[in-house]
Amino acid sequence: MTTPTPSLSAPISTITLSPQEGEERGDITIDRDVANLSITIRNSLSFEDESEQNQAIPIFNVTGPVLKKIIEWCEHHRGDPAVYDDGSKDAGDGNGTAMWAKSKGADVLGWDKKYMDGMDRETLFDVIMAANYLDIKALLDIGCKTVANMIKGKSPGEIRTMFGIENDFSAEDIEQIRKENEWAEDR
Amino acid sequence: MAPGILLSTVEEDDSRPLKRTKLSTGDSDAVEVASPHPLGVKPLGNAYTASSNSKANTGLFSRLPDELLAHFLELLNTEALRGLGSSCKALFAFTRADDLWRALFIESPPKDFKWLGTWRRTYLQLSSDHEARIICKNLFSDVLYRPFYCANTPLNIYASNIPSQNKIPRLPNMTSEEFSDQWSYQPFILTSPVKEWPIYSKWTTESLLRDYCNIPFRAEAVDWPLKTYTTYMYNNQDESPLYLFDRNFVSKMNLEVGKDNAGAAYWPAECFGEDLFSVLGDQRPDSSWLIMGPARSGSTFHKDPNATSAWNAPLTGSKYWLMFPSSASLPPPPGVILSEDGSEITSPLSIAEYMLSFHELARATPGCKEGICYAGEVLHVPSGWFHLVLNLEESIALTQNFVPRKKLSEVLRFLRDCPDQISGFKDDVKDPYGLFVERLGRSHPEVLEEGLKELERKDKQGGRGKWEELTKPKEEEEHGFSFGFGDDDDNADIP
Repeated sequence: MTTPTPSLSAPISTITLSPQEGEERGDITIDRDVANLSITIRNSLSFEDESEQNQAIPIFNVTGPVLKKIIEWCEHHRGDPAVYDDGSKDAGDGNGTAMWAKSKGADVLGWDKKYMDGMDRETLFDVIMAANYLDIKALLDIGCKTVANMIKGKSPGEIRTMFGIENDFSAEDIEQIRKENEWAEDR
Repeated sequence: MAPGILLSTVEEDDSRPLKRTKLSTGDSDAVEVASPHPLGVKPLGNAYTASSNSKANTGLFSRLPDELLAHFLELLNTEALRGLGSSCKALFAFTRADDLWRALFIESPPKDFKWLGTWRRTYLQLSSDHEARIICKNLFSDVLYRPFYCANTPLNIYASNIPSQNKIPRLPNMTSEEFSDQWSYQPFILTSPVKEWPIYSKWTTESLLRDYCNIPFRAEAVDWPLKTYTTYMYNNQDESPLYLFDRNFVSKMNLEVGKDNAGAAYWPAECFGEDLFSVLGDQRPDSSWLIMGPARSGSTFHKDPNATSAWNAPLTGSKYWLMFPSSASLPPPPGVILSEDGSEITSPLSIAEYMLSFHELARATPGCKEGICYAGEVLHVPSGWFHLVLNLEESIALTQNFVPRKKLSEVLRFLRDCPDQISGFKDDVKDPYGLFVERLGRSHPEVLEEGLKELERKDKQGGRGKWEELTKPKEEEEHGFSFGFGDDDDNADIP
């Protein structure tokens, strides 16, 4: 019997994921090229040897419904070279401030916009956190941009209502902020 | 902001005075920073014994880990940051992180501005009197606290007690023969040559300000008049202070260079001999820089471009150097991760982070070299050596990259095998390797021949040339045996 040579075996074409949060824990099977949009999954696959590759990969911190929502996005974007980029092209300005590349790309449009608009805010945050955990940079990026666009042009009161933020400032604090905004008006 | 000596007495909910906050990262000898974070933020570990955490008031944002929240905030403009920052205390604190404002500043610098102590105040042109000052009680976050801690933890201690086997040799001077025969591959410090420079003991921050205050100098991603940069230098709170590093200073400052030139400001020490890149004339890559920076500024681990060697001479102040040799068979220094082709170096973002996490291990690692180079001295960086430099005090220095004869084969190999990593050449130089070989062949045929022979010898040696590295199976390097291709007699254990 010859020693197995992993580099010569055919890659498995589907991957099974097992969400570990929430009540719906049913396994979900997806194509490998869809799964590869997640660097986290891609990395865990590369550590397995052949005997493990048929087992389900546990996905912590993500519920079944949210995982399905993520997969919906990945299935739409499979094969798109831009989303396989692991985002390692940094701004490279030498300051080393941002941990991730600051995406200045186009706004959220078309299918992505519909996808995002179709979610309630709770789910949107769930998707952002899952995209972060699964390391799907393009999805994380458009999720964050969607939230950023919600904030633009809103007053602090409107922002609080939108996101359930509690106002824990004192009257004095509010007054200080108001004065500062007056001084910095030009910017 | 210097660490305070007195304990602060900001009151907590139950009216106990604030204790010194110990950074809860597991550093057993973590140095305590006595002065509190300007917004009262404390390290994350303190949350476990606190009665509440104000991040809980941030609604949907409370579910995001701090790193993710900080990443999200990088997408917001001023108006959005202000709106979100006005909603609750925790978001007030997160939107005040100065790194956010440094990035906004660099992205769109204001036309006329005065440096006002922090990036936020400078970007908004807001004096500190007009800035809201709100203490964010019960906010526990390492993402917010750590940069403050790193910006204030003492760093000069890392330069003390250098073990004797690590000490970079110090010599008064050397001849070019000595450099070529014995010292081209070693770091060393010379104490006399720079003291003969006319600019030594003439140049100070004040004198440069007097003579060049409105001239713009490059500091990382910005070009600032010297007076703006010095204002920054004297009054900043940055963990990684902006570093002035200008490659055009000779022409900007109208300087003459070279011992034989009348009125010359400085000249490279004679022992370094001829710089072979000079055969490229105007087409040579950038080679000389003026460096200026406050204490705590410096460079994290890197190797100099194009496999060149370098010398670095402080005219004022002093620099601590931490150095490691590199080769295909040596691991990188502790805390430094190389990309697969060795072209990119990932190491902790700041010198302070590096020192806190890795200095002790680095010092104990074989091959480590350390030293302090003082004003009027010059340090030699052999090609290929990793180095980290920390300004122990405010410092003005000059540095130059060069190709000494003994290192020619290294430079030829780099130019030939790593064309995508070459830097500093002008865009119209399409084939640096070819150009260099051609020019050298014309002016120094015997030197070129010697270099090419040495290169060929290294290629054949089957040591770890780049080609070898690219084609050798990875497993062989890691496990010491190779996977057979269906060899029936192979009884080796599979790891």
